[in-house]
Amino acid sequence: MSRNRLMIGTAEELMGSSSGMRGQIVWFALAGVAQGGVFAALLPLLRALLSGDTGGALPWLAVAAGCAVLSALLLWHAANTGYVVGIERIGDRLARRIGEHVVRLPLGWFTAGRAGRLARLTSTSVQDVTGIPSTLLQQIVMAVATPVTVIVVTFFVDWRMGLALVVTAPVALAVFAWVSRVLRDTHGPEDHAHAEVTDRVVEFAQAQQVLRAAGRTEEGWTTLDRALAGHRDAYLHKLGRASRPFGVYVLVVELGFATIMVMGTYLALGGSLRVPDAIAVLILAARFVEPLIQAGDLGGMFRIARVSLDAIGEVMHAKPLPTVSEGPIPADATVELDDVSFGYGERRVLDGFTLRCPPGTVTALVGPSGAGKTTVTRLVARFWDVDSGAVRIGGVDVRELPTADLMSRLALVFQDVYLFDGTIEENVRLGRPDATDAEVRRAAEAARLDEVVARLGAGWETRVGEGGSRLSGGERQRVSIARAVLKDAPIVLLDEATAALDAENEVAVSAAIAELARDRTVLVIAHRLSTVAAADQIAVLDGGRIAELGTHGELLAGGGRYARFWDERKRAAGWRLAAS
Amino acid sequence: MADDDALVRPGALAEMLRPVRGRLVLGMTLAGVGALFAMVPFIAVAEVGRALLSGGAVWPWAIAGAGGAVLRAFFMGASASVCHVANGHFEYGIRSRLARHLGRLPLGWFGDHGSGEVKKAVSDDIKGMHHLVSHALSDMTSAVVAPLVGIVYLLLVDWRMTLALLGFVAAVLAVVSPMLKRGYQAHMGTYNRAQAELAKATVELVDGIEVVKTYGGRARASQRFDEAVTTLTQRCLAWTAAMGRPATAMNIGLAPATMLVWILASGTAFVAAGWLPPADLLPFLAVGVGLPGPYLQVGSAANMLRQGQLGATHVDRLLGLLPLAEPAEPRRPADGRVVFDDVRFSYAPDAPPALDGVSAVLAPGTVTALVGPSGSGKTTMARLLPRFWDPDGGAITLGGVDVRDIPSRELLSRVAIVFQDVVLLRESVRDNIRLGRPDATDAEVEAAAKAARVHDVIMALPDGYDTVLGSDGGGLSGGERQRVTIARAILQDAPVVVLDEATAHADAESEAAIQEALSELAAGRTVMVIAHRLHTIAGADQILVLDSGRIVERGRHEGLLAADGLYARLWRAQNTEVKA
Repeated sequence: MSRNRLMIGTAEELMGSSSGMRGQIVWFALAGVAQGGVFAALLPLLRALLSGDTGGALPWLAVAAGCAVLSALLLWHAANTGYVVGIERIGDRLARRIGEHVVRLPLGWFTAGRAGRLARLTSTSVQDVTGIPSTLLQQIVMAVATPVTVIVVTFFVDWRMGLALVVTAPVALAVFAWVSRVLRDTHGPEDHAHAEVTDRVVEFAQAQQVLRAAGRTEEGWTTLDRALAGHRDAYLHKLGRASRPFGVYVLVVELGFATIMVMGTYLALGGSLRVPDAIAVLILAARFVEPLIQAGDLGGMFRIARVSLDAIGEVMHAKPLPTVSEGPIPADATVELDDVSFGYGERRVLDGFTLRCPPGTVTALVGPSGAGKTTVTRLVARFWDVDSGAVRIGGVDVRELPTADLMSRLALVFQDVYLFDGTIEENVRLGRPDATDAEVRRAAEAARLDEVVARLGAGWETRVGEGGSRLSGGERQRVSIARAVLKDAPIVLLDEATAALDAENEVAVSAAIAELARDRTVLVIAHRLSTVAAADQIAVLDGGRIAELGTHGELLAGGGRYARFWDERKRAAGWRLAAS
Repeated sequence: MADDDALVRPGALAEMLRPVRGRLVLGMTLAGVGALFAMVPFIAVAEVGRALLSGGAVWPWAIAGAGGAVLRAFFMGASASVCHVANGHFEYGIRSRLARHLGRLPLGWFGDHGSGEVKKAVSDDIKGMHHLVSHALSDMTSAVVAPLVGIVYLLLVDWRMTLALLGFVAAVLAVVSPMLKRGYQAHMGTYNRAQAELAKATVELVDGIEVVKTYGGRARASQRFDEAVTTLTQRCLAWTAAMGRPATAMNIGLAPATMLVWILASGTAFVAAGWLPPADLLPFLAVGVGLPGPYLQVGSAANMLRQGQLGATHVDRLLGLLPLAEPAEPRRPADGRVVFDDVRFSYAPDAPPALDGVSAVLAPGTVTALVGPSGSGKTTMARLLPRFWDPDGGAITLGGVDVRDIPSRELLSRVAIVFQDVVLLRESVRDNIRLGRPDATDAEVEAAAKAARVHDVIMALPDGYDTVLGSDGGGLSGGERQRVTIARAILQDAPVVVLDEATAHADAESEAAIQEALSELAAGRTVMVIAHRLHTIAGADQILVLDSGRIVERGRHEGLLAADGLYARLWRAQNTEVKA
């Protein structure tokens, strides 16, 4: 019961409100006691019936029937309330809380694979938890309440038989704890082996062409074979280890029953226990062995609910960035990073990084991969907070700006563009939901999206598919640029696509970006030479700091890192593939 | 769920279980014997009671009861062990079989269905069968045997009383079962759909989080998520009203307490009417009360059976996919000359042709570039050569031999493929490169890495060539990962090389390195390259310009420019941009 209460505590903490589960426990307990009353009535009833006194049995029959009706009513009420409580107060609420919480988490939290895991959480794990107040609590509470009632009544009839009923309980409990412990210990390795199997099979599928060329699909890919055999062995190992304590547990319970059987017979034969009483206790004992053995399954259901709650808890305990509801108004669209240090976990990415982008200018970030270019743009958008130093917009620290104020000043055009499963128009209009049709059209024109729309079957009403899958990469990017143009934010954070777009898209996208950059403060991770050369200032990043800063002409004249970079890029731009 | 019903192929499951049939039959037999012994304690209790009342021999029955309890523990435990071990071997066997089969499917299948379907099969579907193999089959055996033994025993005691008992159970089931069935059919489908929609809405919320944050709380994703939660909650409530209540009614109606009252009531009447000696009531109290118990669990066992059948059907569908036909009379290509002869291909019978009569000759030691707007057929053409699919009409020959007459391993070892989707295995760098030629020495591996300009990068990794690449690349950037795959292709030393946007992952710094690596790879081979950056293929020996599945222009760069067609248009569009 203590673990039970812990679980309810966890659930309520996650829900941030009372779950209604405590009430359920009371109802189920009452139903269990009433059910115990039915069984207890068997004792006096048998005394009367077995002596042939049917008349004397009737009042007790009425008691048993009364208890049964009472138990049925209580159970009916509790179970049906439990369903509703589980669905409305727990399931619905938890899912919404997860949704609300997740959108407040820093963007840095959203790493690859999050979407799938979170989808399992809201759809499956939450559903596992909704069963607690109906099915799980009912089974657990009644499995305890009914036998306890019967045992108490038995003590009143004959203390020796009462003792016989409870004497094995401590042993059974101890062995049960052993079972849980072994299951917990062996579950981990088996789970791990299973994850390895899934990973390897997916890898096997993805790498088919390579593996086939190497002949690994005919002779068998040993890595996969090893993973499969490893899982089988871990599974069998778990089985081997768990079956012993579980067998002992069942045996203890059965031996308990055997004890009662022998002792009841002995006492009844010796005359110190009335025969009807002995029979009644034996019938009840036989009846309660089965639920005790099935307690193992309950443990399984309990573990599933527990694991689901823990998984939900892990998400809910992720900390959102501290936010303020009111803040100063930034003076202008200056973007400033002042002595910023930042790292992901142990890995330091920026180290005393300082950069000032005056309003209306374009700053190009260049440098080797891992130099921190992406991190700089994401810190401005407050995906994460800096470890030390400050990021300021118009002189105001981004941490002092309410999220909505900060976001309203920024337009983000990053490489992996995500579109919602709706029409093109809906996706563009997200930039400014109250924009007029004319404004939407103008933004589309600026982003060269109008050409795409004209080509598509249903024009503006064309649905883009889940994640925008019906559009090509270049087309998706144009939608996101149109969105940003429509938003008309003073600051633009831009990550130029490295992925090769086809020729037409590439031209359209560059033109669209030029349009977007006009009169705005732009921070761009630049890959195109034209973008770099035209920037008002170029920041060359290396090792988490700015190695060089200046205009294209200045830096070239300097003959340093940038000059070398430029040479290499020129060379790459002139490269031609040849077979000889 | 109605859709799913149509999908189930019952034979699939039986066929898949064949390898472990012996163990399963043993496990079910043990469960049956266990169920037989499980009834002994109940019967013994009744008989001890009757003997105590009649003065017959008590001890034999008391000992039988105690012994039966221990024996049922033994048999049930043995049955569970056998079934679980069977499951361990079953999972291993079916996964191995699936992997072997996947290794023979056309490569194109993996692109269309991705790893999602494979993952579902090895994880979800087999898990669905796991419950069936390890629990449901033995549970159902005992659910049949135990009540049967009980009913036979009770019939021997008194048939009228037995009929009264069974009549009550039948009445409860007659009322409740149709309601359950109706509820299931009416709501399972909508419930499943609502659950799937919430999962999708969650994915959209997470993948689109940047947009949700940038454009505020009115974003579509949040709204869709909220609506999905609301819908799921409503579906759950409807489901509960239709199914939960009848289920609770059945649980109450067949609960031991209810059964006890019914038996006591009808028994008292029988005794009062003189139809039944009071002592003969004991068997009904001891055995009859628990008779419907197993039936209550048949529901969950039936559900497991369904899950198992669904899983088996899906896995069976994968196993039923036609493998790529291997040639009956394998032939060896003479050299690296590739010829496309009037090749026609479409992705589905009713889809427009992706390639519509394409003919071309790719001579050894030359570069052939495929150019054209997206969707023009470039990628299809590149993938038909290594037999991702087979053409619908025409033929592709390598070294004078139809590719369908070359064993697939031979073909893939002669065609090195570098696509923009970088595929690296979670193995050491060395093993990843060595996949190109499994018998290569360490020195040859390093030579390939040097040629691919990635040796220094590898040496800087913590364990050098022994560094295991994680799913995230083990600290390699996209461009570096790409160069590892180029090293693999160089090591493979194939006469034919197919490149598809191989510089896509290049950031500014690594593009030059990738280009050098590609030049090494291309030297002296038959090269087919898809490039979006036209300047990279301006020196190609042959440029094929595709549009809507046809080759609309062909020739060298200068000639095509002079012809002023599609190629010239594409070139001009791109060149205005790259002129910097």
